[in-house]
Amino acid sequence: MMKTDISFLGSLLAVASSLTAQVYQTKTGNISFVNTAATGSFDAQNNQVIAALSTENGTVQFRVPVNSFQFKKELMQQHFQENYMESATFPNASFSGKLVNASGVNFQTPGTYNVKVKGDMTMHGVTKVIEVPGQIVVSATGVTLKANFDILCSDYSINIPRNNASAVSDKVAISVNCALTPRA
Amino acid sequence: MTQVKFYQKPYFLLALLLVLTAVGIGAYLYMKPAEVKTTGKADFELNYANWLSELNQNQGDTAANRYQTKKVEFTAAVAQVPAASDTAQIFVLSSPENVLVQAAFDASLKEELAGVVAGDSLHLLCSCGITMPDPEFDLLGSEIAIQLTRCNPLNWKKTEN
Repeated sequence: MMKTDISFLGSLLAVASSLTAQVYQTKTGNISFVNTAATGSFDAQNNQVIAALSTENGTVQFRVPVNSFQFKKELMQQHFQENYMESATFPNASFSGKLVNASGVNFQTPGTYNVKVKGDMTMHGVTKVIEVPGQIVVSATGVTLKANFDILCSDYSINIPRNNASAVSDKVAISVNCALTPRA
Repeated sequence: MTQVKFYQKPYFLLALLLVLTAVGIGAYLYMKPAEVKTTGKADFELNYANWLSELNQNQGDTAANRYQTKKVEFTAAVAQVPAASDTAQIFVLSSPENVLVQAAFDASLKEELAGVVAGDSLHLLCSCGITMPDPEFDLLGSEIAIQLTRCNPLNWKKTEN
């Protein structure tokens, strides 16, 4: 009798878990970056980021079309696409990882949760494991993923010619802001 | 006899003029605003349906690489008009279920595009980005993503109700 009760309870929990487990996604997420060098700074915006989050296992995935970064200056945009990121050869940057502390996020309760995400970031054909702090904002309409972190161009074999070093810094500040809604 | 100072000599003035012109051109190129909509001649003038069919039948990177960062021109119907952000207006274009086609326009074109509704036909010139499905990114779905950017609405035909 006891065994049957435990089995029933297990099934009930599994059903409850599958009911609350959800995949959230967007196809119009925003990622921007700022590069601050000795002679000034420049920034770019991308509004075509595809991102998804599974609440079941805390998996987070991003795919960023490099060609979609919009700069303010033509010359910088051209250099970024053709010389630095080589977007015709490496059209996407991506990230696939997991929430380190997924249990700390209650996807049923609106609020702002501080999280850490760890996983593989691939850019310019180079993959590196990164761990970055971020926030998950749970609201009635979905979840928003936010993060601000720095990367080094040199870590991803993005070569900045010496004569451009005063205009382009090796360090890039990245900002992620993706509003995800439940996948139908 | 009056002595001509070095800065009054013609070759100096010519050199100075050349330097100033070079600096002017350099400054113009450096400061020139980025193109917010694709202009010039298209690298590919496409029949939209045939193009999607080609990508659907050749889901390797080779098919996609042919179009990466190239200027593409085609006519397609708008499927969805999501709310514009501060920095862009994105339309989802009609496509088969396993293909996502997004056309992104600079925010400065928002007013020009304000009347576009689902069903309207747009003739576009855009810069192209294509991503084929990757099994390692299972969470992102298994659709081909065609992400067009810096789109230029060359022509727009309202849907007939």
